[in-house]
Amino acid sequence: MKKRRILAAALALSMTAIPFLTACNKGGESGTGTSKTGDATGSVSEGDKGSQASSAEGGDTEYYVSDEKQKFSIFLNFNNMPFDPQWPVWQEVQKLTNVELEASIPQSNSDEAQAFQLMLSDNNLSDIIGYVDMTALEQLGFDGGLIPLNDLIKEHAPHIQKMLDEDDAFRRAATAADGNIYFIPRNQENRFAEFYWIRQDWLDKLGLAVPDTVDDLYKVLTAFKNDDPNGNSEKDEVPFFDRAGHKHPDEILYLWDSSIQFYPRDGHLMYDPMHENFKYAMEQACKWYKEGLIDQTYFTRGPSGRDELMSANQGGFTHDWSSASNYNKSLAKDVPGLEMVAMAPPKDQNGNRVERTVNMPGVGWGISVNAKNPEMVMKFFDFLFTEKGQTYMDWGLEGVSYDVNADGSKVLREDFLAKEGTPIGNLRAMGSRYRVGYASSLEAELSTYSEFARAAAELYQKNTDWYRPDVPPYADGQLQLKLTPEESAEFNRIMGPITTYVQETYTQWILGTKDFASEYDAFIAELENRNIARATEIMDSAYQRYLGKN
Amino acid sequence: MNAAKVQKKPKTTSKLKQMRSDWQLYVLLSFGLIWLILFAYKPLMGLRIAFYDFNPFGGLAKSRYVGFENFQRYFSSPDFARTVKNTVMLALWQLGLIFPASIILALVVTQMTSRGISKATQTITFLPYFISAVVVAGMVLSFTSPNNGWINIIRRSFGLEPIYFMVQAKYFRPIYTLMLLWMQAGYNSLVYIAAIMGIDTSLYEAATVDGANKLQRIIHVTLPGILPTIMTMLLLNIGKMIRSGYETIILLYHPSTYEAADTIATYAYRLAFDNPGRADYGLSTAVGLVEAVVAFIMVALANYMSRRVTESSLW
Repeated sequence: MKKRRILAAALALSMTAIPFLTACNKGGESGTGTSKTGDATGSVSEGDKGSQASSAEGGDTEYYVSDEKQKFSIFLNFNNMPFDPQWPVWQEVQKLTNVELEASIPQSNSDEAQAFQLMLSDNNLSDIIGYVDMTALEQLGFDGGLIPLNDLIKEHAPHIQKMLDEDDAFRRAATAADGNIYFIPRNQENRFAEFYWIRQDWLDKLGLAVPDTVDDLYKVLTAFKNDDPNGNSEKDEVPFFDRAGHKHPDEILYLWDSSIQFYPRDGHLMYDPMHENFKYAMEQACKWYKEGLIDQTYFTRGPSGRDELMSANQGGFTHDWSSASNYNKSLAKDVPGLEMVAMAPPKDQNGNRVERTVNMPGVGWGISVNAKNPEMVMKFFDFLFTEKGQTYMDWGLEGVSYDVNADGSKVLREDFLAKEGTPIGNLRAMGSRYRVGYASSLEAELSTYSEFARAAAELYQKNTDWYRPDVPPYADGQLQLKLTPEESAEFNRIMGPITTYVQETYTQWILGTKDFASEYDAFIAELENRNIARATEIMDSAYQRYLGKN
Repeated sequence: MNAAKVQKKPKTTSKLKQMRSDWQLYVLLSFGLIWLILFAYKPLMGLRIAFYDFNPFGGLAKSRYVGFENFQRYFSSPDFARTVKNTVMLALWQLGLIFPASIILALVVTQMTSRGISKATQTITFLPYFISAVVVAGMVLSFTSPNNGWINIIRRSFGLEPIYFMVQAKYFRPIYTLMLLWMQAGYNSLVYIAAIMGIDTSLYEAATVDGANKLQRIIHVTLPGILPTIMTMLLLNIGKMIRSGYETIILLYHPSTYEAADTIATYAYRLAFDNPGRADYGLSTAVGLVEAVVAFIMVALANYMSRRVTESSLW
């Protein structure tokens, strides 16, 4: 009898105690490569044409990493497009370098994070590893999974070395807190990231000028709200909207030079909610929300919110990437006259004009301890930094996706641009523009832009003074500063709960379920109580290292 | 003395013999046991992560042993009291609404005189069980939307201000429980319907002869008849309620409703999987273990109550 009781107890416990580490996936990035399957067959045959063209150069061994064929396994899954060595561009690259690549992730994989965790816990590292999260790659380096590349670059990768020497942003992105380089980043020449977008046709209709200051913006948005710019005689306009999800507080607070992130003030990093600007910014944000200038449902709107609001002819103003201008073309029939144009960041209450989002060298790829010939891998990496390699990554295949003009400049071919899907999606379907270590050029970036996006890019690229030079690159709202494993562990322990607390409180203030003015002091006290001072100290020391002062 | 000795020997051989003759049954049993060992007991080894500063690449061998530090961090954080309270509250809401509703549904369905309506009711209430939680959560979000959700459209037609339900903590528990009710009531009632069908009809006839009306028959015949089933279901479900639906909660909650919606399970999930670059597996596992303990306490309590009330219990 007693035995049976114990067994029953054990069974009950086991039913309730299956631990949490059954990886579960929430949502997943929306794939930019949706056109991939549709285009795959078409571009493969075209790729063959291209390969014939270049194999005419015949037995060219200039870029061979070795006379003996090298075989590397490769772990990469970019936006749910697992790396495919069969992509026409990569067929060419493999042929030119005498390398055979073998994908470690099956083509059916749709969860990069899960695949990455599985690879780690199986302790079965591929030779080449790229992953969406820089910090995770560096952690793998600290743990001994990726090898330091500094010496290999010096010896075998003259082109990468040159870029490290000449490009501060690239070197800073590549170098971990311990001074080692664990991955070769994907560099970007363009500085601009997001732009402020406004409905020019609405401005014209209401006879308003493009707002210059945040106070002008307030008036314009109020007019959008009340004066029925979409002409359906309903008050359904959503003047200020954003699809950014968890970054939403920042997207609004930026207007008054604040955020819920760390930001440099007078040479030191500070947690923005502790800065005086935050109080003003929060008051304004609450007021704007209350008056209906800010999307009333943005908390549950989700990433497709922008599509919904634009096609319903309701959205007026937003802060977003170049794709915000795509509607000018795609909705031309449904919403006649729709014209989203980029405008300069409005001057804040202190008279400063600042754009906080910047494009930065992103994650690329590194070499694991399992690679048998790391120096060969490094030579292969270096190829993508040669002009030829860069062209494959940026432009695809000559005669298929691009042509070379008489003056040597490159253009995407008319028939390629006319193909179904977006040009960038079609380039990715060939294997170009993939998330690997290479240097993407501004010219190539602009080649896929619509005229409105190009105008936006030129406006923001030209006005370098909108970007503060002392601000480290942002990624997804957060400063990309390099922390040591110890710093990072301590920082995360402090900031994990604080971030939740701040987001929660922010939302309650905006919604008016809690009163901002009366609770602000308690809020600051709670931040101090949760040791924001130590977190700031850690971030600031990393920032001083970034500035090269430490 | 001698006789006992003589008796003992044949007993063991007969047991072996019995096992040999019933070998098919043991083979059948082995499948369940293997499943249990592989999927319930082996993963228990993973609970060791709770005592480490876990590093997935190095595995436990290269992780630092930290003793009870992860537990201390959880217990001393302001999130501890809140997550435990929310977990228990959501379980109680389910217990108070879904559990009796399934029984009432079963009673209603079995009492219906028209077979067609009875079957139709059963099918309609059963179908939502097959709809994916993601879809149901999407439906809830769109129904409650302040702009074009039908709840607010109705409110507006009565001249009332629309309410943004999903970002206000006070609405979370009712909405979540009602959603689960819609999803699960039909499915849960199946067991009771089967139990009610199993009651000897002569008992009803006897009650009718004694002058009992419909309600009295339900109270004095049907309910006592299915009471053991009810208690067993209660025991089986109570642990599930604690651990239920963290994925559904994640689909519905929002930082502004964490106050009422953040359970131990969602908290553990956020620590490990919704925290890119800063996953804290050690703390997450410790939190998950605490949840298992809370669930176990609830099951033990229910078991104690069940033993007192009906004399039927798990142990």
